[in-house]
Amino acid sequence: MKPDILERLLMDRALKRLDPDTEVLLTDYLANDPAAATQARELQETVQLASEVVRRPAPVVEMPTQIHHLVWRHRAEQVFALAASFVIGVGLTALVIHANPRRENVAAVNPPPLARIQPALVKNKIESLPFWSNQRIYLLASAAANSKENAQ
Amino acid sequence: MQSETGSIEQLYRQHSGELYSYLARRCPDTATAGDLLQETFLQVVRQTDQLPAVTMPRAWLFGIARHMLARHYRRQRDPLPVAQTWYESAPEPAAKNDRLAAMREAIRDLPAELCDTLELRLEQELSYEEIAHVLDIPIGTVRSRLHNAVRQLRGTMTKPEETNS
Repeated sequence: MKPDILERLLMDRALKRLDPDTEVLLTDYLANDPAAATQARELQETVQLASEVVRRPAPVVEMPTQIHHLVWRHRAEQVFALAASFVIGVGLTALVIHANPRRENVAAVNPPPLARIQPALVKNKIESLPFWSNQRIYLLASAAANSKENAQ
Repeated sequence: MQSETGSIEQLYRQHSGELYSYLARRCPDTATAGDLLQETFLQVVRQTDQLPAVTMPRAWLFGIARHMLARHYRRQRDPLPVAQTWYESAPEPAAKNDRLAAMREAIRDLPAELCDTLELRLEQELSYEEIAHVLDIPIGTVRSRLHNAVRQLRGTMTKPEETNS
């Protein structure tokens, strides 16, 4: 058997991870190979000693035997997350509504057409504005609508 | 919900001891180990829906515990320790056995990843597959790490005898 394959098998055997069939075959092989048998014994001793060292008992403390409080803690976390989401959602909605008032409300607070209030002032204003300005066109339209209403 | 709580309780009864032992050897104090154990099972409660799909419960729990441990040390900006702290603070063997002391020294000198893998095999007796799951590495890597660790330990343990003889 190749030395590296033999070593791999001996390692797995020492670590108790060799399948039973292979172990039987390996035991037979070791019976006829004293050098390999020595190597196997050394590896086994090494692993045994290492196991003794790492398996020394850890400090013991009293642990809670109930798991229910963890389940309740998890549920409380879920409820808290839900409540937080709700509050954030309501807050954001209120912010959006506050920032964008409805169109009809905007129209309600708009002043009445200037032409209806003071026709003489409006006429002067129209003359003072540039010919194609938006404000002039708006004032003209308002004045026209006003005179139409008056005629009726 | 009752059955889920029942299966978590069963997991806790079966594995909390060994998980606590694993954590306690890697924590500076028992209180931290207790906290991390609670965090581990809180994580289990959070992942209850995954329970039916878990094929290796021990490996799954050790994986979560290890993750919690890593997170704890990451918050403190320290590397994840192997059980070396515990080896240093553990009392001397009762019989003052030289070979045990030498082995303890040899394990402490192993590279962290070899030591961690070796401990999961020898201390917790996890299979290669379970260790691979816990450490999130291929089984071949687990095997080679274990072989390297045993090879190094054997080399260290045979050195003094050779020099004495």
